[in-house]
Amino acid sequence: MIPHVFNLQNCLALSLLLVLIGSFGVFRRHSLIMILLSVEVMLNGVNLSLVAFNYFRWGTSETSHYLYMLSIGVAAVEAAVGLSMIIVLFKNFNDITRERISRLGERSA
Amino acid sequence: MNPYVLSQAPLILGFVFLLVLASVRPAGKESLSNIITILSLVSGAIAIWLILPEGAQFFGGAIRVTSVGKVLAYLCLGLTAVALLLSEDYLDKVRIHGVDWRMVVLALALGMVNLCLANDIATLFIAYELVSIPSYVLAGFAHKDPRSNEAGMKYLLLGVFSSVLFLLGLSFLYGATGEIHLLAIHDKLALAVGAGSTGDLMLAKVGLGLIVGAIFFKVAVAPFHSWLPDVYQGTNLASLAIISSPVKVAVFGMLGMLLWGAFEPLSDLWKPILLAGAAMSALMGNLQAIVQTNLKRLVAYSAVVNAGFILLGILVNSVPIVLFYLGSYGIMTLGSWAAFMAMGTKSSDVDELSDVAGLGRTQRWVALAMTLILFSYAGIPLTAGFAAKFGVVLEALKPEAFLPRGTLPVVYFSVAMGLVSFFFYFQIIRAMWLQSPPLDAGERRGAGVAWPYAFVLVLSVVVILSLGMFLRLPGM
Amino acid sequence: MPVSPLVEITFALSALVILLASLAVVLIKNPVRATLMLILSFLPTSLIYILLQASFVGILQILVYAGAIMMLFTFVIMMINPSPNEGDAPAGGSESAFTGLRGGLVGFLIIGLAGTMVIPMIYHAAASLPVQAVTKPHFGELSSIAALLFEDPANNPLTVSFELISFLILVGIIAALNFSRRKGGQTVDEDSISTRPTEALPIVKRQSGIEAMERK
Repeated sequence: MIPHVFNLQNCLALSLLLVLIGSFGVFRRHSLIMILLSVEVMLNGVNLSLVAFNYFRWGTSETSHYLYMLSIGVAAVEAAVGLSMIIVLFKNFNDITRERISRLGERSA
Repeated sequence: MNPYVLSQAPLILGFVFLLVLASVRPAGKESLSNIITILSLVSGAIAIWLILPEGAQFFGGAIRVTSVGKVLAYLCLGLTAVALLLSEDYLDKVRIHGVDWRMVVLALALGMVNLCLANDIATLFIAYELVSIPSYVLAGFAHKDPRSNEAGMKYLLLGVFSSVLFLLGLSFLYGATGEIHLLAIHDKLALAVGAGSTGDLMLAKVGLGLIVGAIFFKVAVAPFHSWLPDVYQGTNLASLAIISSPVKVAVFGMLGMLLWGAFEPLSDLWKPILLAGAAMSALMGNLQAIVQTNLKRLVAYSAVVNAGFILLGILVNSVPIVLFYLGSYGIMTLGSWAAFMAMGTKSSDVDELSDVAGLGRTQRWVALAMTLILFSYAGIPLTAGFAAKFGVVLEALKPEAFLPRGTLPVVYFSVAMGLVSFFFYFQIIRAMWLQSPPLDAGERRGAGVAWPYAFVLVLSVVVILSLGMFLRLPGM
Repeated sequence: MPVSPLVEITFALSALVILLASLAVVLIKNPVRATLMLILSFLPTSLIYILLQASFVGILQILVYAGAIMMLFTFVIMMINPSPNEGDAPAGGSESAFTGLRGGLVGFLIIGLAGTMVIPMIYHAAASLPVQAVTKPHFGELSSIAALLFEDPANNPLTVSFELISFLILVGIIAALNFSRRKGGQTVDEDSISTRPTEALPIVKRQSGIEAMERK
């Protein structure tokens, strides 16, 4: 007998785990591109929770499918702006490691 | 034709016109685009005033016009127009391509207006992003400058992180209620609170926590404020005038309308959160500001302190006080940036505290205006900053205010920490009036103050004084 | 709801693959591999969307997300060739850099707290919620979503956000254009790309990501 796993709580747990994994990556990674990539992992989890809520609870209209579309549109713009900024940074610093590009901050007098 | 579309038409037409202008005359004169942008902002505000009736809903409830939203929209558009007045000469100085910059600002203005009028989750989310993403772009706009790069990147990474959490919060809210319309969400939440349905309520509470946390990130409430000084330090002054004044007003306004509106049934949860944010901001902002010698970072920490007071205003449920605070804070901040721009030399901006030494002798009037603005930041009587802070305290002292326990100690604590903040504001004032000017001050004295800077300085001084002296606040 | 065993098995396997691939994204040091792992995690996600009767969303996940956005990432990574050992402790630079993110211990503490407290809380809350079956005919199909989006545009609550996103994309275009400008304020011409050796990207000095992969 196969246990019943395809339900709302498992989908939510999966999506929250993805968000956690992604935020772990945001804190841990040093390369700016990898931080953006970790944010994409988080966003993937959020999208999953949106669609799961719609299917299991509010199946009268596909509202969250539309929210999903908005979210990937925003993700595309954020990726485009972020990546073009990273290219500019690379031109200026020849590096994209976050500790090594850092010039701002408290000045030790 | 739909009145809502008509009211957005000036902003969109201005945007399209700039798009054409940018492709026809790529290196043309900047003043034409500046005039067009200011005109479209002002006519956008007038259109909202004339065309949109209060209480009307458009597009099946996606847009709802409220009196608070309208006032916030005027404030945002007006502050943006004033900031654009400042930008024209300055953008040439830092070699920013002005037409592109103004297109981004117009898109941001569109986002702010929609943020103030949005009434469903989808519109709210997109308007929030249409405010956020142009802000990142503006922060990193001077891309030849490594410091601007870094500021933009930092702002973008943290902003993207927080907007993912925002979306997660919206998702939980949708999961708990099944609605995207904010009024319907309010009704369902009230029902759930009444019926005590734990599952839905739990989801909604987690969603509320995530949304409020994400907005705290965005408006730099302690302990999520550590990015703010770095971004202020790296960003050019023209972009900073937009990011620090109208954007703050729009996002704080949205926070207030969300909490007073859709989340009103859950006020037992969000009031303590706001209280904690206010207390942390008063503590961290003031303590970290004391050791600052960089002027822009100092203003950033004072933004954190003021954010704490605005949270207290939202907490005491007083709409007029919050609007008054936002308006006076916005014009105060613009005034300080105008002073910074006027103090800069042809090649560089003021940066460190030593750069303003002896300013009272070289640029007397600018120094005088800056002193008054600093008084207002610090909340010295007869200024708008004092009236706003005093209003918050008075509202909190009202016996009929329904406040969580611990509100009054936090209010007293914020005021006491305000006394600490006198110390670092007076450091600037002392440097300006009591220290002798550096040797190269002759370069500064020769250059007069350009008229836009003078105009904005006079405007902010007049507003600060008149609001501080002549206005009778509600409840006073 | 009675669900066929095939669906259960597909869901469990997809979830497993997604989790493993996402962990790989944040743990693998080589950026090219990490990006490929993210694309790998998108494929089973799309499978789960199809199980959730969101067929159009599943297609979008592959077409737009894995196809277009990840393509952008791969392109930029290939272009600037970050060193494959970025996980090593960085030399120099201030530790307080990016303080908001790099609160180090505090950040991991928050994540640990959230992992051990919030997820079980939400799991139990969600388990107690009533489950409704999907009632709408053609749920999640293209025709149904098109009707939702474009029916009666003047009174459709989704119109405004749909139009606003076009401005968002325009901002992205303007930003990318601005960031590619040279000193004179001109956008990059085709002719001028390789004429200034000082501004050309120093690709030669570094090993390419593929070489680095092969060396491992």
